[in-house]
Amino acid sequence: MQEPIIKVKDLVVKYGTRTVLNGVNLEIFKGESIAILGKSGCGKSTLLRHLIGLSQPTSGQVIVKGQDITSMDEDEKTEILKKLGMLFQSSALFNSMTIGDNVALPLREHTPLEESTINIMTNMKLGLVGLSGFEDFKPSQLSGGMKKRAGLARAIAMDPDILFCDEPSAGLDPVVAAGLDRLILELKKAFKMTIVVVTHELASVAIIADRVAMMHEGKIMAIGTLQELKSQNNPLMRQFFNREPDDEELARERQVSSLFGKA
Amino acid sequence: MEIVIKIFGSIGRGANSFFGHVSRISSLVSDTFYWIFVAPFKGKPIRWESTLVQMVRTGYESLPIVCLIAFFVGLIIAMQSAYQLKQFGATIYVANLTAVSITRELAPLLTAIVIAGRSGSAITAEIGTMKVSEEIDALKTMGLNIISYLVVPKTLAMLIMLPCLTIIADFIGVLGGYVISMATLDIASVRYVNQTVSALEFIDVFGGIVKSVFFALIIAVIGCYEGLNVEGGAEGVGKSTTKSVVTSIFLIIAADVFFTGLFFASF
Ligand SMILES: Nc1ncnc2c1ncn2[C@@H]1O[C@H](COP(=O)(O)OP(=O)(O)OP(=O)(O)O)[C@@H](O)[C@H]1O
Ligand SMILES: [Mg+2]
Repeated sequence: MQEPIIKVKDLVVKYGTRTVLNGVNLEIFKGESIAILGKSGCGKSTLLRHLIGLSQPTSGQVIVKGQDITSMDEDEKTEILKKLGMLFQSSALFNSMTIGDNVALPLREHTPLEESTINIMTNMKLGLVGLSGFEDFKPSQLSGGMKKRAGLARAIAMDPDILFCDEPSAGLDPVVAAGLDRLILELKKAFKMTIVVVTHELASVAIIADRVAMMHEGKIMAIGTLQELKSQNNPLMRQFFNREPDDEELARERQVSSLFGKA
Repeated sequence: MEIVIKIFGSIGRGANSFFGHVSRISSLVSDTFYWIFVAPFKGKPIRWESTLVQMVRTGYESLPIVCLIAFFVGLIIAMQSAYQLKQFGATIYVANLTAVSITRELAPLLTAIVIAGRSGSAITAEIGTMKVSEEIDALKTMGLNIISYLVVPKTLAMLIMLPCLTIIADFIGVLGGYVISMATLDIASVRYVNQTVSALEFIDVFGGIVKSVFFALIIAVIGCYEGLNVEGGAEGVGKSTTKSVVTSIFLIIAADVFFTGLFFASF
């Protein structure tokens, strides 16, 4: 098999005394799409932050395109980052700029293109996410779902090799969410992008993901195609796929109902 | 025994966090200087466009309040010194006292304090809000350097505009003294102006301007530092903004003591 485009080796991340990632090992191959699943707060966003070198891990390595991103100097990292796109969980649009300027910023900063060309490219990317005509809006004038889509347009502005999406469809209506899934799929096909998606939506996992990585207690507990994971008889996985609450959750529920006298 | 350990423990932690702040602020300063003085020669130019925007915000838009305060302080100093000097029939020296105290001390200090409250807080609030809404992270993922993109334009604008504002405050403050003297003291206009000109030495005005450059550095660096270290949402932004203003005013006054002491010892 070919060399992985991203390789994570024994990644450990601690905040104070709390261990969030406890030895993550993961290989992502060029052109594939991988979905990262796991309970809320299990460290999915933290893992993404380390994959793009935003934070320094406590220990371990993240090798992107053959280079260790945790020990790179500024200039090398900038080169790698130009070809990475990231859609943040909170969209993270620049609130002081219009949507058009948000998308145009990486082009203005990193390419020698003329302003007119940049405008055309910006409008094209906004068109892809269904936001043409909104380039003069400020982020505060958009709905949550529209911000997500604008964030995606900005993430793909530089035609990245690898696209990271942190819960792209969270908080979107099913129609728009399905549209976003299809868009991500198209990007993968048309531009041969490698795609890493964190998501809770099993429906979109089924559409987007070639492989699924399941996180639990700071580790990748299982990895494989959706079918492989479903067929494993792991209680945690079954719980996730069947949308069953935790035992603690059930206990809490019983407590609540006993309070209100409905046994 | 236990209490002794606790006391030393908290002193140790305090000192540790103090030196931690000092070392991080120093590295912020040296990074900023690198991006202002070295990087432009390595093909990484200064962002003059955003610097200009910042200059308008910190300089031009602060002009009315700075002028008003300088004028009032000129009035106050002239009245206070006239009250003393009248006893000796030496009211002409109001011109000397006003000119020297305004240019050496009051114009640089008060302008810096006003700008710390006005622009220092704005810097912290802006950067802090960007931090909590992950905009800083988004900039980093685009391969943009935070120092060159955010810190340098603000610092440079402050370094240019605060001395300019100080020079304007010098004039307006002296004008305040002149107005009071003309209105209440029996001194001819020409005589007052001549007295002012002969009282002022180059070092008075220049010293004040040099001080204002250091004050500018304090305001900008503390403002950016506190903004970049905001933690925990909107509440954190509020806390850091307050902290930024209080810290920079304290450091401005401490630096002023230092510079005045230096001057006092060498003359
Ligand atoms: N800067 C930080 N300081 C301290 N703890 C942090 C920090 N960032 C994240 N954490 C902790 O790390 C854990 C993982 O957070 P993370 O945001 O990665 O979760 P997640 O899997 O993305 O959850 P969600 O699905 O809700 O987005 C959380 O328990 C959080 O409290
Ligand atoms: Mg998350």
